[in-house]
Amino acid sequence: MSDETNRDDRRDTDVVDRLLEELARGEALDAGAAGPRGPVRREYLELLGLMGAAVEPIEPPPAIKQRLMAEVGGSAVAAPVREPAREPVAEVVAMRQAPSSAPSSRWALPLAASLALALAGFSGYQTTQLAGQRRTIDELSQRLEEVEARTPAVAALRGQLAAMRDQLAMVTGRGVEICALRPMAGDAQLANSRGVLYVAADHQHWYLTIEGLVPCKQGRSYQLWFVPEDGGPVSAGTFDVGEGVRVELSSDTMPTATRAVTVTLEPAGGSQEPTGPAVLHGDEVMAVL
Amino acid sequence: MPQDADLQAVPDPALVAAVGAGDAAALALLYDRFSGMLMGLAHRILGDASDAEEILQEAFLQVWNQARRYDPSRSSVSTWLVLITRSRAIDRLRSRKVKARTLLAVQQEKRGSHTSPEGVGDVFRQERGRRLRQEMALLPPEQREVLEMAFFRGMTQTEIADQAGIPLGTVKTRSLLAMRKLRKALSEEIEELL
Repeated sequence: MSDETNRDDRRDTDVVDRLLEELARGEALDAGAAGPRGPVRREYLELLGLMGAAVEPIEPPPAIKQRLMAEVGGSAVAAPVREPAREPVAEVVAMRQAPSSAPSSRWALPLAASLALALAGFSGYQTTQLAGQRRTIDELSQRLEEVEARTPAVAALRGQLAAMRDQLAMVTGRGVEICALRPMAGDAQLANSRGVLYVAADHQHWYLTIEGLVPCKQGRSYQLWFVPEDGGPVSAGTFDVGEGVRVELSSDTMPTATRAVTVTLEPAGGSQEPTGPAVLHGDEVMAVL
Repeated sequence: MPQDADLQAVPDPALVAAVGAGDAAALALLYDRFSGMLMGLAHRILGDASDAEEILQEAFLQVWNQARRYDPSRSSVSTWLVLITRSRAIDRLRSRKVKARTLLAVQQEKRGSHTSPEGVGDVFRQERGRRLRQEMALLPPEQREVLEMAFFRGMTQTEIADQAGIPLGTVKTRSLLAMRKLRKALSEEIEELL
């Protein structure tokens, strides 16, 4: 991983941290109180907005709108509103506050009429375009749901994709530690085997890749063990390998204070404690981020 | 109706600008567009229809009074409104000291449906909402829970760690993983709001 990537990742992480802390405080994400801006921060801000918008909508009673409009001195029924001019709001306000006796331009009426005509034409065009897009989205959504319903494989692929994203996020996360698994000396068959264990900062989530192990003989399987500081090895499960196939294992639990990881060859189905020869072992942990 | 169609064509930022200039009709239209979504959010946070209605009205009054402060370069209108409503609802939640209210009870409560006239913008908003719900559902439960506790219950990470009985570092890790995952998965939806 390059230094530049590390920097991006750290910046990325800091942004999320700050956002969530602000989020937890409740007030600071008010639009008026937000701090310095950046594209990444903006993206996370919009993500938070999406989270709020993802809740199932509830139609409020009409009385709420009536009370609101009474409070602001307007009608509860939305009157036609045209898109205001693009000038900053402050300028709009300033124009509205100008004395009524101010001389009006002789071009004002013709210009306003022209603008109104142009806007009406544009609105009509835009409405037609957007209505077409709405129909297309509805049709596509319906078709997608139909396809998904007919194809369980799509759901499986989504799950697989989510798992891959999880793994990628974990191995590139801040505070991740890695431990290299090396073959035990003396076995020529294992000379090209190796593994890398990634442990997330919470020391719970882990992801292990192994290459070069030979397929087990009939009635045997490989078994992964975590070795805590105190106590015996704890099984993390059994696995087999195909010829030349890379093995990927992951979980969100790991014994506390794990100091080493070992792969042994065991009877098929695994053992309560290591009984067979160790084939891979790692106990040197390195923090990479 | 043509008139309704015209109204639907006014972009959200332009509508807020009109509200900032004192246009009550623009506020009414903004209300029509977003009240269902914001009512749903307030109800989700507070778990009480009466309180949610009050928050909704307060939020739109705040919009009326502060629309001039809205800066489209900082956030989309939708996000601005969500954060205003959320902030007020969380304040109310804290003042009631009912943090222990479970989300589950709220989620299981039967809700009404939003029946405001559906415009093109509504379709996009609903589609985005559907996508986010979909991606949230794909999150590992422990990551989703941490995000929901922070966003919908206004809990600090320390409070989440205490309540969930997990280390603070785990809370942070889960939050980060979840947020990163959602950001990547929803990059197109986020881009639409920028």
